Amino acid sequence: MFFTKIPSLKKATEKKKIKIAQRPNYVYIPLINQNDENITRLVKKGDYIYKGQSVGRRKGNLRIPIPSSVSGTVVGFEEHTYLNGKKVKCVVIENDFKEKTERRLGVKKDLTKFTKEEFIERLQEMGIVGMGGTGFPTYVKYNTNKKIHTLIINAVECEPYITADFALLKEHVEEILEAIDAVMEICHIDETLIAVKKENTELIELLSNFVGTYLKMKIAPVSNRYPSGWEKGLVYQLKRVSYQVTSVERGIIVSNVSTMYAIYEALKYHAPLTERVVTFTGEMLKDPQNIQVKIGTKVSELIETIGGYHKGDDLYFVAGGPMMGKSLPDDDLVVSANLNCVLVLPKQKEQEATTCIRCGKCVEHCPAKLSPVLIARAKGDVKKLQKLQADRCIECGLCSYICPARINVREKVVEAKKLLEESSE
Amino acid sequence: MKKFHINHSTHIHAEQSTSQLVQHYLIALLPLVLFAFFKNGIFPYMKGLSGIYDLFLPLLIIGVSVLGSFLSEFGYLWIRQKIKKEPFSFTQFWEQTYFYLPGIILALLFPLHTPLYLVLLSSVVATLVGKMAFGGFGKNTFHPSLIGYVFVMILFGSVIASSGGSFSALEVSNGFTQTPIEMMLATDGIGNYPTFVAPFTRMLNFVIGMVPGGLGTTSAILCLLGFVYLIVNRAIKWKIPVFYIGTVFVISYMIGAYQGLGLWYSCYQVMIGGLMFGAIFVASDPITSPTTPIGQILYGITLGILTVVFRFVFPIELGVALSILLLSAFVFAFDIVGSRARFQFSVAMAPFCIAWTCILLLGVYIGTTYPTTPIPVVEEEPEEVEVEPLRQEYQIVSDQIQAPYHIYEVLDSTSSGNYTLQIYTLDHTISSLSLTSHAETEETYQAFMSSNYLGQIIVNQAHLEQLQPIPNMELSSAVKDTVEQFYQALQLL
Repeated sequence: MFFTKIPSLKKATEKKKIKIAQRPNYVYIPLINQNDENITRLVKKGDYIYKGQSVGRRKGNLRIPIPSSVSGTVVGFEEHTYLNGKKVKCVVIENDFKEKTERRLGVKKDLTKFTKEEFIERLQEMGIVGMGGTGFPTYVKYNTNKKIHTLIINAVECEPYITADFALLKEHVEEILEAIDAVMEICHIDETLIAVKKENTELIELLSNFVGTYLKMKIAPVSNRYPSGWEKGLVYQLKRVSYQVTSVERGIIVSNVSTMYAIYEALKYHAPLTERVVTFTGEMLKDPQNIQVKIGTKVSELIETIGGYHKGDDLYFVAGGPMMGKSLPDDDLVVSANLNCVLVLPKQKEQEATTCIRCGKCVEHCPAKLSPVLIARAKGDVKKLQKLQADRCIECGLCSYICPARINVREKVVEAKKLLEESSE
Repeated sequence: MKKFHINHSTHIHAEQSTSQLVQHYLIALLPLVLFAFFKNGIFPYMKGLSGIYDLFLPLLIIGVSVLGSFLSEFGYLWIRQKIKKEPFSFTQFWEQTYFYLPGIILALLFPLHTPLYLVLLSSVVATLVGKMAFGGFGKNTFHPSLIGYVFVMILFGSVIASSGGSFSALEVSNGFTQTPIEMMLATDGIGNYPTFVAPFTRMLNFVIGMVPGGLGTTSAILCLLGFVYLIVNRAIKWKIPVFYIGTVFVISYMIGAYQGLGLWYSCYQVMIGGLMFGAIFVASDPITSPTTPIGQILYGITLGILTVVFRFVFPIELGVALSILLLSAFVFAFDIVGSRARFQFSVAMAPFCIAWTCILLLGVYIGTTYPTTPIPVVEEEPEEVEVEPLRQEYQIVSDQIQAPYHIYEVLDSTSSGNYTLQIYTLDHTISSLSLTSHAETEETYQAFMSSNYLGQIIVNQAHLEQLQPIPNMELSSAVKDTVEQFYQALQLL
């Protein structure tokens, strides 16, 4: 696979330790999972809820609870911005700072002493979702009768600026490896590959100090280029197999490092997914940091605690990385389990799009082997789009990144993709 | 709550912009512009063959061509803005229409003595018909320069030829009457080194471009230099020129092989007719070429096949220009194949198989239908060889075997009389040599013996032609000749 070299831009936060955020007065737990707002509310105004108690549950096949990250009283429901830019209903909880949990279930000494059923139930109960960006319920991946031979741990973080996974690994490498070992034991997995960028020698060195203890784990250095952390590309790079919908069909599970840490806490301490590490960075933030935050915290409050913005009017506020992240009109963003980065950038020059000169760079660089220029020129002709397989787009943004005419090619391809999805329904 | 700007695209961008791409093209073309000036203007002027007007004629052509593009594009946009009441900004026109690029390419294609009004006409046609009629920069199907060039060459070709064609004063004084491509087409591609290359002195002239042809299209090495520059800066669809030139090279090699011509023939074929320039700077023009990698490869191969057809089957001088012009109408088809081929291997392989079959068939077809012995052979005058008067052959007087030696007694003569040599041979080599009788004066004999010339002869017996005789002594050269002949005879025993 031919990925594209893009600058890493991680300098601002890559050496920084995880900073623990101040405990918020209020949290706003978004009632959404994986862009699905079809959530059953389990609380009403005035309820007292414990930390980790479910405030909602996703309906349908992918049932997953949404845990509260603090203990306190539900004071109402408000709409706040989710990382995809939409306003989403959130449960507002006034924090009583007691961190009370409903039951005390004790610490599990040996993580491997779970049956597969117990393990899957635990993942579901604790609301563990993919923390790399999708927010897909993790238990669904492991809940398969197929023989899983390989577990791939995604620690690539191929998007520029983001260092959340890197910071987490540096501080919790032992816990994460313990969790991986347990998952391998429970699910009878033969081998684990920890995918790390080749250029990230610091991480490779750190991991190699610990991995020796675990016989079935290997460090797998992968391409430095973008998007080498893309699941399909990662599986192809490491195992030379491709798949249609999920990697499970080829006996491979890919999990993010942060998710693995959440699994560790769920198994060891019976702790639901209530916190995560988010990278706050960008040229226009005074003090870029990796911050461990409670889910539901307002990003504007967090940014104030780290010194706020640099002066300037023409700023961009991005939820996510610089390639795939969404630019938002205000900082009314709440932290969700799949938010890995908040980026504040200065206004760029030369934004205006000019005429396409058919240079073919978008075609050359598309990791999904699409022909974005042709998709854009098909102008909504469904038949043509089907033949061009526009629905394969992974929205990585390379076409927009590389375009010399500064055309937002991705937007056009995503529109085409949506059109195809609508027409097939 | 703080408000922010919205950006729908990615938040970082690759550095290269369209204007930088165009700049790279300009930089790559710069050596060719300078070369056009040196070859057609400065060199003839320095030799005192042309006047001050001819000195600056190449630059004048380029200037007029760019001026024509500017005026027509600006005029078109200005009038349209007046009629349709669309906003028109001069800076946007200046920065985003890149009118000068087709202008420069067009000028470099023309023969030197194209009347300036034709250059102007051509660049106006190029801009209006080739570019603006399709909707302006980025929307044209055909390369504007080719539209203008082919239009003028077909309608006014004879006017250009009668006003002097492509020959600079220097080339006229060198006696050139045909460009290489004209020369090749005149003989239907049949010929050999003396007929193709020798009129232009040597192959190197094709490489550096000192042969008649388009204003700035003749220099293969400068075209390649520009190509390398564009590749290094990632500003070119490199697959098109590589496969275009490669295909012409391969088919020409096959044709040449049938005619008994060597590798030079295919090198010659890719350096004539503006092929290098056309492939590198015109065929790879992003707007009028396929966008998919496999589409680009197939496009290059097809261009190569078409060009060969235009050279050998329907001989046309504008072969390169016409191939590119024709095929750019079918770019969409190459893109369809190219985009499908990204998902399906069989879709990718099928056209390749067809392309390779075409190449093979074309090579064999043209190769076999051409006479295998080149017809117009330049007869070389036989060199006059000075014939030396034959010397009387030596006689073997006696031979006897005295194991392990075979001893011969050989009689030969100088002007003063006979002499006898006794030669001991062992296994086809001379092991000892003595002068047993002679008719020379005692002085000569003494001088001969004291020089140990016989010893030298024995040492150098295998290559006696390199041994110098003793000056002013007939005996030494006579003995040397005798032994030389004897030695040759000995080898045949």
